[in-house]
Amino acid sequence: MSKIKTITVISLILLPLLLIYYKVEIKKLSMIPKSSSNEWNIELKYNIQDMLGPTESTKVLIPVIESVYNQTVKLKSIKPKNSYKKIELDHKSLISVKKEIKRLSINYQLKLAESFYGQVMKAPNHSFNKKQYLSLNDFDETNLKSLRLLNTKFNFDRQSQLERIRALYLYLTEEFISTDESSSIKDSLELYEASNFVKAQILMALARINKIPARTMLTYIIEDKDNSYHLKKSYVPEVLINKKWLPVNVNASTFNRIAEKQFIVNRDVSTDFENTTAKALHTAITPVMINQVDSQEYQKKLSTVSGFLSAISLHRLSPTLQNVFLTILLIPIGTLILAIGRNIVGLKTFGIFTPILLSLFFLETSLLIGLLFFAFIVILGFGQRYILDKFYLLAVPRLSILLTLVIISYAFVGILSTQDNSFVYTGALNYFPIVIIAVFIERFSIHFIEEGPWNTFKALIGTLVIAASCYLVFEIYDLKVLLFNHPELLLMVIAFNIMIGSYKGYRLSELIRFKEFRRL
Amino acid sequence: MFFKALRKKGILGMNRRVGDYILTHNERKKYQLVDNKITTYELCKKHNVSQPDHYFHVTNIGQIKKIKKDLIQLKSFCIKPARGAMGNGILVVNEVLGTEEEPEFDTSKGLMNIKKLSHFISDILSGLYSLSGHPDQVIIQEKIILHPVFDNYVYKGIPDIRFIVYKGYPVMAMLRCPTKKSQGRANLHQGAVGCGINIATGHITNCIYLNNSINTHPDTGKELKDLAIPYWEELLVQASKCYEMTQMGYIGVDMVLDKNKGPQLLEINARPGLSIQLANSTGLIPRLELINQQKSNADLKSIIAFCQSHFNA
Repeated sequence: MSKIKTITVISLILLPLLLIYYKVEIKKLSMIPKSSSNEWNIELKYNIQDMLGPTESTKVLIPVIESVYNQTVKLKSIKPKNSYKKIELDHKSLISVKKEIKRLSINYQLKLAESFYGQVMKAPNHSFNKKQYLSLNDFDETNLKSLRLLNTKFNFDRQSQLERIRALYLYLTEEFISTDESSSIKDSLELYEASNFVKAQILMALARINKIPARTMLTYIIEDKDNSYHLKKSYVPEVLINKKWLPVNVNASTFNRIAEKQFIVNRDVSTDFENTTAKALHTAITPVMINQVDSQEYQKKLSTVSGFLSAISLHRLSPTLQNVFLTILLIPIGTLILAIGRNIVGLKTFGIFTPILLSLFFLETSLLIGLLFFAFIVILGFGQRYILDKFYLLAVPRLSILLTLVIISYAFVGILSTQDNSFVYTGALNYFPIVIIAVFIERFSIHFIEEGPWNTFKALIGTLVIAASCYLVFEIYDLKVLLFNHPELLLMVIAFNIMIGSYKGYRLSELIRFKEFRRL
Repeated sequence: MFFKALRKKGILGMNRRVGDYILTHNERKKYQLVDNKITTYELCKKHNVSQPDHYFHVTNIGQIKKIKKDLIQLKSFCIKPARGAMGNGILVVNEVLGTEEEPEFDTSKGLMNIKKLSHFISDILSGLYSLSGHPDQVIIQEKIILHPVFDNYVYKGIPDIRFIVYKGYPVMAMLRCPTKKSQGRANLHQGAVGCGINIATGHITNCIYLNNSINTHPDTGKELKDLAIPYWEELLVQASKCYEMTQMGYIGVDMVLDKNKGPQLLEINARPGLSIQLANSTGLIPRLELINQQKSNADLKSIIAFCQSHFNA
């Protein structure tokens, strides 16, 4: 290679590497920011001395966060070491801490399911004393009186348990204003305003009055404010209906489910807990992201790091355009595969870029339908020669007939997709695939006439091999995101292409072509 | 590692052919001189390189109806696309039969009526056989008459002699004999027999058919190595002249022998294939590198003498 060429290649490779090094190692931006997968590091700090345990006991019990509903939790570490003991009580993990320890810090790794409906995890049913969750001992007489009075207004005589809970939920979410100040239940009922905790308590108490076992869960909602995350405490009553626990999320206004970005810390808290332990806990919680941010997040971070980088970032684009560019940026990678396939392996293809277009066609339609339709096109291409040859048609009208037949069959695929249980994915049917097929069929027919069936078949195989390889590479999600995040990598593609373009050695296919010489 | 044997034999591969020889020695703008056979024909006339005569050219579809009369008068002729490649779109008309109103043509693709023939011509015009699919012109050319020396060496059609001419030096040559399988076409991958030729003498040295070594013609059984090509020196001179004519450093020159007119240029190829190495059972690189060491202003005579003395195998 000449000096200039070598320098060009080296700089085209180094430039993107340096830029990425700057971004990732110096500015600590993530290499591949993935769309939010909702993983968090959570640290719970307890001021043990502020917590209330049984007076005579020298220990405090702290429940371990469970994997329940849409959350998966891993206990990572507890500090200080040797200051605690893990115990199992009622099939529930608890941490027992001596009161003389000042602070205890527990680290969890938390993963929240993307869609709650997608992966509902069953709430584990611990063995418990049902009476415990029907008891009204925690509530004093004045409060109970107001609650009972309220309950009579509902006329619950003929309604099922679920209907009752639903009515109570609607009443609390629609009629009550949320306040930060905690007042008594009686006052709250009169003023129609309640704190987060009291709202939960009202529902729990009313459920118990209706002989439905109920309890209150302590949860946190992850909130995003000014580039940092905060946790907001929120209480969720949980009721037992038909042997199943059901969250009644009066504070987040979601019935029968935990809100997005909400996780449960403790499934059974008392009034005392709210007044003591919860206060010992609330100041010391910090969620930490695990190197995974979504596009918006990344762009925000980028803008704090470098105005220039943020100005030229593709993350500025609208989500629709981002999706388009995620795919478009892969095309140069496809050309690289094509260059290797043709110049180093020695595959034959129709035209130059047809294989890449074809792989985009596969991406658009899914591989199975893509291949089926492709096979159909090829059969049509072969067949037209024998049928249309007899009509003595000029080349262009003949290709037009071919394309018309393709459109007709495409319409047929469209009709197929409307059938129940159809394997055709309707999203695949748009202009784009037909443009690709039109280009392909032109190349194919010309090749067939110029080079005959055997060479056409060879080129067909070559085209398919390259298209399928491109498709497989295009399917690597991390590669897409990597290129989208660091489009400067495309300079490296240019460098590799200069290298392949300068390759004057033999092609692999020439081992077969000149096999005679290898025998000599 | 894999390619050790090929490198040792000096085999020219596809990438090196393009990178070291075609890109560096064939100027892009000169391609049109050889890609269009009508241009080549006019160029040949200027440089005294003999070519089969062109009777006339068909340049648009409207012309097709008017040429019926002219075709009947020709008795025998050859139809070719001006920008065709690899022998595609060539039709040889051996005889015109039938009446003047309804003539029939005895062609290399069987009996054809005027409708079928017109369709064939219009296919060429619409670019079906041209290198890039662009609209094309049609050449109605004199039919080559097989030289008797090739009797029994062909099944049908005309054998041609391919020279690789590097900077005016004919470095390698092969005779391509059509077979039944190649349907009269002289293309190796279509099943023609490729015979390596000793540049010094014009004798056949080695033959391949469908990538296998053979000694006799697959259709006629005639011993191939008995053949020595007549007018050999004149063929070398004509091939060498093509460099001067086109100013392209690395070309494939296809010549034919006509029974009456002797050596005739058929076409020049700016991207000649590599199979000639298989036919000669030797690699091109050592020969090409030898030429690189020669002075560039040698005269025609010394060029031919050099090739004959150095490529004597």
